[in-house]
Amino acid sequence: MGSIVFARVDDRLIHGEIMVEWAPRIKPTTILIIDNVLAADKMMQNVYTMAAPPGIRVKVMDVETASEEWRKNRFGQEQDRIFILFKTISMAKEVIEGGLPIKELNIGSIGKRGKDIKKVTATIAMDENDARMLLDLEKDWKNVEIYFQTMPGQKKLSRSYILEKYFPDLNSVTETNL
Amino acid sequence: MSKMKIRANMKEGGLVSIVIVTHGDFGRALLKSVEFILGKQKNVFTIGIKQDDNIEVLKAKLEKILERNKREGNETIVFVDLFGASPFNITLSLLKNYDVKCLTGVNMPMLIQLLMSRESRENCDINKLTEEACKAGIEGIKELDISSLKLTKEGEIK
Repeated sequence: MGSIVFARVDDRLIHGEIMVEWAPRIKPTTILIIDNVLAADKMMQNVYTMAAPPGIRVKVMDVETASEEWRKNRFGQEQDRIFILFKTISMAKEVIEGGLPIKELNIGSIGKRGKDIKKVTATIAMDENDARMLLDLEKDWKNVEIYFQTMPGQKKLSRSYILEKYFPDLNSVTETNL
Repeated sequence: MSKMKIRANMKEGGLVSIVIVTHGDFGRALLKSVEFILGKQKNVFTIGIKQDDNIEVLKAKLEKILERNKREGNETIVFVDLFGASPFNITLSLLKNYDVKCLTGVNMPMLIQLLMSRESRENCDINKLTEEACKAGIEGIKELDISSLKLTKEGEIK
């Protein structure tokens, strides 16, 4: 069985930062992109697998296939080190709720898109829906540590720090509901 | 680049269109530096990706240029900085709809070569243009030290 060594939300998926900074540190044997949209797009799948960093295999699966593969063979051989990439927080949430044993979730990069989006770090923009999903995740999946960090050299910012700072109303609402 | 500027450039016609897609200001600066040597260039566009940019917006920007070139009947060559990085991912995602060439690892020698050879009539075959540009890009990289110079022990030229 393989082991999940890193899980990250990054809407650029495999790009310069991943190739140059993260992959050499994490040393994965496989980068597994779990994304329902990409899993249906053969052309872009091909782009990512063709441009895989040297010595690393790139796989793309939808949520269902990923859960199934994990149940069946734990993503491969014993020595396999799996680096999971998600394009969105919602995809990560779906996968964690599906039972994949992700202990740490790195929120790395989410570009600005549309209105009502708050820039919470230099490279991460979230709306209230994203924030709510992160809150739910930590509530229901207590052993998943969620943190914000774009590059390996940067300080990790905790989920609670970011949410309290940028989505204070959301926090208090949830607390009174508890 | 503004709509009007794109339109003005397109009027030149005939020339193979070049788009340089890079991280940050690299592409813009590269073009400026090349123009330092070759003079002002027509029908060259640059797109720079910033850290907090939305990839879809940049993709739309590139697509707009490719669409216009297609409509005007101009061939396009897209240069990107890194194989496998975001500028590369964006460009390749558009290859399904646009018949363009993508060259990775853009550097000054390859850009200069392409800009020079696209001007001359006999080199108008796009495959030949890209082949020459890649060759120039690779040949422009050399490692040198004192032993590369043909000198005598006394430091004089042999």
